[in-house]
Amino acid sequence: MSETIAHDDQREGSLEKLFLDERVRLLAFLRRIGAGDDAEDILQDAWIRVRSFDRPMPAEAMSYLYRTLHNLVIDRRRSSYRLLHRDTHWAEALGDASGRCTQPDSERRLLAIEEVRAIHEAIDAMGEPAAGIFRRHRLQGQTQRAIAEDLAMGLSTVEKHLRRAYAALLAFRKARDDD
Amino acid sequence: MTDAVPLKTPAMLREEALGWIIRLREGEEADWREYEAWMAADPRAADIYWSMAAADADIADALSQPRPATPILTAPVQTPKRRWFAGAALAMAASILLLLFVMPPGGGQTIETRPGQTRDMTLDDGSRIILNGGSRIELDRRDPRNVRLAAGEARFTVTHDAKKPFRVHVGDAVLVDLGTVFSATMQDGELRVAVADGAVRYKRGDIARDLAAGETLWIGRDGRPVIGRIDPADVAPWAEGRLAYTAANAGTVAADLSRATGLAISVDPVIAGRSFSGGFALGNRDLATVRRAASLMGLAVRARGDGWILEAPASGSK
Repeated sequence: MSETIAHDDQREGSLEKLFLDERVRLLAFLRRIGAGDDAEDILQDAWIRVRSFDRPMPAEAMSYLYRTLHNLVIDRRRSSYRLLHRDTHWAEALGDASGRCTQPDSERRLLAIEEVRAIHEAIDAMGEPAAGIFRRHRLQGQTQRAIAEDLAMGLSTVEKHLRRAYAALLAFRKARDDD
Repeated sequence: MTDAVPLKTPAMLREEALGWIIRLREGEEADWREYEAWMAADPRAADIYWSMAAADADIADALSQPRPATPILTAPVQTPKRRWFAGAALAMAASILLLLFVMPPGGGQTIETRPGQTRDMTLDDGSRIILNGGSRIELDRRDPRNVRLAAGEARFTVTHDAKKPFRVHVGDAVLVDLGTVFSATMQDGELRVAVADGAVRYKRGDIARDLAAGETLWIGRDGRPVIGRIDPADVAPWAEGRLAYTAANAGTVAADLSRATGLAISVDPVIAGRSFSGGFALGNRDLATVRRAASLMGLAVRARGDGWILEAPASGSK
């Protein structure tokens, strides 16, 4: 059918084609990064996303696919973790970016807001330039190189600050989880 | 294979995992392949990495929320009696005078933390100061090797330079680093010094005493120095998000809790002298922190006035 042919032509050089060509490689990637029994399911999830991907082919297409799979593994880990610890998670209590919201009671909501405030304060407490560098990198998605140029700092200095900021925040987060 | 390759410690794996979390944010295909190999090389890597990655995603989610405008759990607001208020005003006037007097013109800088807040600073010479909550330190850019701890507590990790020793002025005494990580606390007219690494010289007038790693110095209001012992790992543990004590009295613990949480914590005088050994994580730095500490000390927490009081559990209650 002409429609199919046209479709196939469109696929040439598309993310879908790359996905199908590299399917075995991608599945091996998932298994090696610890996706375990979920690997097939996650690959299927990724395929659905790739098919509905209607933007131009990303420049670093392979790295885009790896990142997609990697983030899907995180999503799975987080949702199974939340099933185990239903009470204290702000992402659930505040409703996440996609607008899901589980109608938390007001106390949980207050706790969630308090968590958000505490995280902001934990970042502030790092002082500058670490706090600013972390926000640029993690929230605004600026590259380390861009930050280094902008702040007239060496790349290794930016990296050092980032490392310390990430470590401090993860420790902070862990301390809250351990409570 | 594990025979040939020395096994990494969990701490090494965590360090590496942290490196990957940062690096993969701008990862290119080669980075992803290298990461995959790293994950596959050690059966413990996946658990360590994914729990950190999930925490990182949680933090990013939280930060995508609008920042709450006003604190939800603030330190209790004082409703001072007039007498207190006058006292506070006087104290403030005194501290302004002191600053005017102590600070040389230009180059001087005072850094102050609120209770519940800590501040991490790296000086030009690479020395690091972590200032605990409710503390004040005075720095001078032109003379970065001389700092004054005016109030509260700080941990110093000093870049040693034998020709230009690092000095911390506290009251009318001075602590001179001999290559060191140490903490100093100035509270209610008492000075506490604890050395984690290296050595510190305490000098006041013509008295001098060298403190080695694992030694503490306590100078009470009567000026009498008392030397004690501490596990070097327990020096300024708040800088690592925890508190730890060897035979400390309950009053000391309460003061530390106030600094760490920003809540006003006092102690029932009946048990103020009771000795406590042990440690706990600061966690949220809120009332739950205080409750956990109290339960470890076998004490109860009760609201009193604008703050909280640690006291012996009511007899008969469980």
